[in-house]
Amino acid sequence: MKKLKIRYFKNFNAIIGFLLSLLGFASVCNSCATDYGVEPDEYGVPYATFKVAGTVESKESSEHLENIRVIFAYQDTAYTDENGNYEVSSIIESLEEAPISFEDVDGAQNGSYRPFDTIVDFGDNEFTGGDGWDKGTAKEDLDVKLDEVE
Amino acid sequence: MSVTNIPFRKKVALNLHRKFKSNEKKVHRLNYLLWECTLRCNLNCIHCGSDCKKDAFTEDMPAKDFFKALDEISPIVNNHNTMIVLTGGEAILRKDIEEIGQELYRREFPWGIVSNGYALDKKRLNGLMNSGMRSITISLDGLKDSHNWLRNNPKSFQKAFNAIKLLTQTNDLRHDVVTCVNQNNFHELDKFYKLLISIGLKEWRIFTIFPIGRAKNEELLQLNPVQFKQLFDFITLVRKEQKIKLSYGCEGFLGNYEGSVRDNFFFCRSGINIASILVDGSISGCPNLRDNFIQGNIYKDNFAEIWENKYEKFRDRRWMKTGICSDCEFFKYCEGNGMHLHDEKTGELLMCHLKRIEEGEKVALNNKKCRNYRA
Repeated sequence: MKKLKIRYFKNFNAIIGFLLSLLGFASVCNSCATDYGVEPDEYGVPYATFKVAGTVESKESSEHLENIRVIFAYQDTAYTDENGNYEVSSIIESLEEAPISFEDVDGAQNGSYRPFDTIVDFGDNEFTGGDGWDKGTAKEDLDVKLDEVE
Repeated sequence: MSVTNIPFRKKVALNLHRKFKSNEKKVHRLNYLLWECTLRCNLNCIHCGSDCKKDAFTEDMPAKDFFKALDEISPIVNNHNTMIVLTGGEAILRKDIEEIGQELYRREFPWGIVSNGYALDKKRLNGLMNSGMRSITISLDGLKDSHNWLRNNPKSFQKAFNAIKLLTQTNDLRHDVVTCVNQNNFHELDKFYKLLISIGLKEWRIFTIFPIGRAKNEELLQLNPVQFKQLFDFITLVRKEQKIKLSYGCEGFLGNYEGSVRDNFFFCRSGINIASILVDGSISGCPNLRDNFIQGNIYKDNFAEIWENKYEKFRDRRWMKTGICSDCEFFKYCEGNGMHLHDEKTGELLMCHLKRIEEGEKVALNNKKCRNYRA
């Protein structure tokens, strides 16, 4: 129960962080080492790469969507290619959950779609390819379907 | 624009931030633990807020006692995200500091040190780096004369400056300089800024000295209201230049300067994300919160239980809405300023940053009017 509560407040704060970034105050929630690695310092502890990859398509037509902006953990930004594929990553010490957002930023070109936000859970992931302080890479696949704006 | 005249967009952001803080208090995950590992110090600074002396009577806390407390708290924290900061006194006077560092490294806690830099030479730095240290903060309080005056030692500037130069040449080490701004170094801030850039320093933090400890009786330590306001204009300007990452310290709600003089909005995280273990085993929020702010003692209590179940004063700050805070319209954003700015016995707020800046604005405006009148 307590874990669920904590998860709720953390997700709530991730949304607040996102709203603040829209207002132009992206870093005001930072302090100390936070869950989303907004201050990714390596103080002599192991670190890892947290990666999210997938495809973005239209919910209505299943067509792959190009040029959708993907922002991961407030750190990495990428745009989907002509096949709707994207990959974002973050190298930090630890990450249990991180926000990811998808937004159609090219106006009417390629159609118009509603933005979509969610949380990626890295809780049970295994790391591969690590060496020494580098614990390796934890990867999550996330395919997303965006609603078309009518 | 006046410091109390906050634009609409920033007000919306501050209101969202209020909710963020409220959620953080409910989660209260510990991610910054300071250990006052000694009260011994090799300097005798005139502003020192702690009671440290060269020959402090209080013995250092044995490392095993600290690690016992750390092991108690470990199940409820994420060790990779919990920074351990060794402070004092002067932490590097401890002979076992490298062993402590290695033990922290073995437990996979990030760790760092706050130091006056006086005893930090290449050999010592290598020892600390080999023990896993990746963060260090050095105090440098202005140019030579100003620093030596504050630190009460004629060699202290050169030693600290040499230490900082060493740090700027060291890879894989996050480091910054903190400066206590006062009447003596205020007028040389621009020269000092250029000096720090010239040695390649990347991060710099500015503090103002608050009226506790020895600082209470030393007038030169406090900026006057006009200087106080000018300081924030200076920080804003330097940040815009982007040659060095300058921030104002963690204390004080700053009205319209919020978001301009540091990355984050003001949020006193003491007891919410920050805890301290003092040299006698007392458990507190920040090390300068003593007396009535002590929540327990590692020699009697389980640290994790204290963290989970106590700290009420820190996580519900409505008790601070008294005195000058009682009718303040900004209390909802500020929540009584930093905990350490409250009298340990009476709880009274000793300094309001916002009011001091406002006072500075008024004095500056009056001075301008007088000059115009004379002209």
